[in-house]
Amino acid sequence: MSDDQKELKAIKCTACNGDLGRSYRLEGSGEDQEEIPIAKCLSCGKEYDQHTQEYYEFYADTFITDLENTVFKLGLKGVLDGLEYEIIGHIRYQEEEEYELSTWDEWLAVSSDGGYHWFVEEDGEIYDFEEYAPQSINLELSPSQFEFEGKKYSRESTGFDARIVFAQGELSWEPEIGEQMKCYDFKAGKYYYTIEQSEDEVSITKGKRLSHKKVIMAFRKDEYAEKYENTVRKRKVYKIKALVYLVMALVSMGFAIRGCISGNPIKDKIDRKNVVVITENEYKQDKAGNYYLHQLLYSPVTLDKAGEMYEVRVAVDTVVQPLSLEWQSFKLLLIKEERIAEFLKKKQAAGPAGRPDPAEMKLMKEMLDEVETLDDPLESFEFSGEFWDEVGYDDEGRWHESDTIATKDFLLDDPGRYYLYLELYSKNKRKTDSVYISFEENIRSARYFVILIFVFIVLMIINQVRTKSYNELPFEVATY
Amino acid sequence: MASYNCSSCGAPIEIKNRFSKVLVCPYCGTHHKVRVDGLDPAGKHPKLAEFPSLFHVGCRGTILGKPFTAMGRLRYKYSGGFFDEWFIDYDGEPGWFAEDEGTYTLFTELIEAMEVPENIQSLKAGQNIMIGDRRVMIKEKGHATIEGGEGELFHYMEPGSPVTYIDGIWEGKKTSVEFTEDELELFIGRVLLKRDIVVEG
Repeated sequence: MSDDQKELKAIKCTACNGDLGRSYRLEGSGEDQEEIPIAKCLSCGKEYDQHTQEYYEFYADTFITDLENTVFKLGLKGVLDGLEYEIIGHIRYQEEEEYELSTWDEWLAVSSDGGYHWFVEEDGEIYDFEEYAPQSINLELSPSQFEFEGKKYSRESTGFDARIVFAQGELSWEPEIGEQMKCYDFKAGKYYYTIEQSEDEVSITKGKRLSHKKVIMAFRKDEYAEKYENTVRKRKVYKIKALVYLVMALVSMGFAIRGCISGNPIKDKIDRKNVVVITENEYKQDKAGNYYLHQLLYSPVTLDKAGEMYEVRVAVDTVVQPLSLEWQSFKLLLIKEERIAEFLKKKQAAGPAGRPDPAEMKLMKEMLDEVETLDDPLESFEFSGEFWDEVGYDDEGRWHESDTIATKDFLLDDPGRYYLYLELYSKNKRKTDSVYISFEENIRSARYFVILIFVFIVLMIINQVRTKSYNELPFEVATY
Repeated sequence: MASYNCSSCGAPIEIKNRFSKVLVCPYCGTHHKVRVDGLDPAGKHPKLAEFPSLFHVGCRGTILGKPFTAMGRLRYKYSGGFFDEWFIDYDGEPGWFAEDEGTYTLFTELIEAMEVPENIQSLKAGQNIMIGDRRVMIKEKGHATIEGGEGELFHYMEPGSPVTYIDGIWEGKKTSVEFTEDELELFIGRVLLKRDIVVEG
């Protein structure tokens, strides 16, 4: 049968002799669903997937689109370790389990000492294999293992099925497109071993990895030596850059950690017991729904470091009253001591600022109720937040989550003494002292350093990838 | 060395190796079985076509540093082409040198008259076969036919006869199994590189 006839036969359906066409099959479900390419008979609908020889014959062209991008070429000659080699044959294999392109090339070379070598190109790596006769081998050891040189190997972890998808030049047998082969690849010591098993033959080869530099200098020095050197140089630059960005990310991390653990409590204690209770568990109904309101005014605290970062923390004291399957939100206002005094003076022409008397408190309540409508802002700083405690069920079963602490950093522009006005809104009645406030000064913000860490890590990853992917050569160079 | 005349063409022919069992007339291609009392003609066959080979009948040299003389060869035909099995005098002992598409194997050890395993015909590559107390892994199994022979041979096989060949591995050595219905012979050897072989003429 001529080659043309073979080709004609290859694209016909084995069941009805109909023409084959490109098609796909859906496999998996949901998000994992994938379109698997197949060849399908246009007459009877018979499907040929990657486990059939017809599939490889039908899609033969798709496996050799990058054939130009190989290190070795048929007829190429070179001197490696003092021996002359000539490439005389080429086979390309595809992993059967992969329906996407997953090929490797084996180049048969004859050496000046009469030996045969297989130069293997796979994922940018190059290996030199030659026939090997092991001292001991037992491929029938068990269904899951085989024995090689006294050591047991798992068939599952070393084995895979391969199909021949292309062949050219001189070979020691006549390969067929789509021919199946069982392969076992493994490494023992510094050598790589491959066992290729078909029904008629077992081929055992032993190999070692060759550097691209060695191969290029041996076979393609004139064409690619300069490009190779440039590639190596560039990759080294990217490696250095990646290292620099890593160091910068680590330094930023150090500053961020320092920021997280920095800060000292301010001198003034905030006394939860000594608080002016303007409103306590007052039931409210408005657009926001039904809730209980607390309005508390804490004694003034001194915040005297202008331009410094402070951290304010508002938290539920679960010892005083746990927060259980409920929510509570708050609004904290820092109000300059003299602003309250000034207001009270205007209203009552009262005495010095300090702890307000009941009349003042009434006025103050009116004022604080209306604080958001005042033309001249009363508060110097405002902080709102929410505490919650929830349970629920999901795919993994019951969950329980809560958030009872809120913190915020702020830069103090105007040093002085500040009243702390706290409004609390809750689903249920809550104790007045179940929420506490604390301040820390000398805070170093971690936020900007966290952003820097992210930026530096991204730059590091980009450069790290380029240390392997940057390539001026037409073929893939995995390492150097 | 014993001298005879070819039973077919009358040309002078001589046996140079004491282990030879067949002599092929270099002039007319007649095969003669070597008997104690002389030559027994076994048939006339065409001379072998000349294919490139390291050896020719009568050539001398060294293999792995030891002297050899090429006595004769049997040529096998199989689906991949031909391979030659040279019968050589290797430093005074019989040896067999297989030449298959540029790969070379020297067999120096022959274990004869072994029992034929029952499953030998159904064996496949990768399976183990017990030959005596040796566990040999079948590396390759195939079918060939005898294309012909020349010079002095160790075996007599009629040209055109079908042969099942089994190549195996045992303890780091290459093996070749030849068998009939009754008995089996195991050749044990090693792979050679071209640099291991020096042909002097």
